[in-house]
Amino acid sequence: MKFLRYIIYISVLTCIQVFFLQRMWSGFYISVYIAPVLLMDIKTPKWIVLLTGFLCGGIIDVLSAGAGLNAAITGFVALCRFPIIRATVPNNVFEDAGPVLSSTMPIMKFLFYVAIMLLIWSLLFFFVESSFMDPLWSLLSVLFNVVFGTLLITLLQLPIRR
Amino acid sequence: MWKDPIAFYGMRRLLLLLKRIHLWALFLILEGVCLYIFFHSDTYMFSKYLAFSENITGKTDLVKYEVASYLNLKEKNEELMALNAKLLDENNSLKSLVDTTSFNVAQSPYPSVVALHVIRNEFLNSNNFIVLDGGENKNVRKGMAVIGNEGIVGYVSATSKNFSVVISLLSTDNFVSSAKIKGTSFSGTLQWDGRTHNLVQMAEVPKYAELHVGDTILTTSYSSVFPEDIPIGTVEDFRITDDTFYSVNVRTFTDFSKLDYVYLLELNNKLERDSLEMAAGAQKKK
Repeated sequence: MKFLRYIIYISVLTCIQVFFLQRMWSGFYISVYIAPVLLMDIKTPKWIVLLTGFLCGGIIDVLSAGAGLNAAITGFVALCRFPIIRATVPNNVFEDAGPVLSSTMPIMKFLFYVAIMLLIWSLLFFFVESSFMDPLWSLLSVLFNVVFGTLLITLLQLPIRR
Repeated sequence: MWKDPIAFYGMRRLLLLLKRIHLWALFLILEGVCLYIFFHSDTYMFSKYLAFSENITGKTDLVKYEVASYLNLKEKNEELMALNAKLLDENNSLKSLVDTTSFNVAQSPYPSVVALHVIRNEFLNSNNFIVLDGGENKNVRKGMAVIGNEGIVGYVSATSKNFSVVISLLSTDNFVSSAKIKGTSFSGTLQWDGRTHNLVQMAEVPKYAELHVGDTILTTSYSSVFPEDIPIGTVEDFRITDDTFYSVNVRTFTDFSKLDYVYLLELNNKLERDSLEMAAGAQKKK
């Protein structure tokens, strides 16, 4: 049942990403589709998190002609998730091994965790995508994605229950 | 089963090693595949790929475009009025020249023009694509020239039934064309450097060419995509490179941030010309 809920959640986020966020902001880009990777249970086996990262990115690549870049970077972010959770999530949440949600931990800690993950994703994505040609524009895109992506992911995780 | 104890221990050690590094191995394999696809996706494959994904998501773009068009009707009306006025002006000028010019619409080198709406427009990446709301259903073919109200825009790189993908002039890797200075026979190579979306670069202009800031740059007859004398832009500035050539910054007439509708056209006998050039190229290689 939890697995099914998870698949529905990924599908909804993918639709939001492809049909609204990808094309609404000319130039700017908000990546909410990485939310399933960020919010998974802490006890989830690492290889499942990794595969979910590649899968989420791969779907976006197929639907928006991303040529593998989304999958590569989201896979890397999934790998970074383990040390970052250890460093940012409070000990009691970590030992509880449940999902990483704003309802299971202090909101500021949650925002910080999401922002750090989005920062890694954005730095890699925007600089590689622009081939390091326009650093100022890439930095602006990173800032935009971190600020608005964190807010959107925080809103989109509200319906999730433990 | 394992008669040889060394083979048994070897296999056991291998399995233990795999168990220990399975996460990294999985990551490296998948990452390798993704990066391979990313760095080896050539223009043709990427265009086909984009045409495929546009078939899935294009309908949403179309709805969004229609809503936006409705909301911008007033602005569009003003634009059309301005365009109308410009055409009337041009018409009057042509009327006064009618006895001295040999230009004839019937002999125009591009008789079949298709007008299409832009439903997706990139101009901030280093290789930009434009998606149009018509494809094979409107007789759009790969290799057609794409021109806006003011000047050249790009060329068609892939088509599906209902959509076409255009490689924009603002493409560092995929767009190279020849261009000339209006009123002279001096030409050069036009390619974008990926920096500013309204400045493209013209290289290999001979240093003895008479060049002035504000000169108009046009397409040449060397292109198998664009008709001759289609406006590109004006000279913004220029400098000598290698003591031999000018490198020229050209401010494009087309404002790529405001592309709305474009015209697609194909040179007469394009297929014949392309095949002949390909055959000659193959013979030269031999």
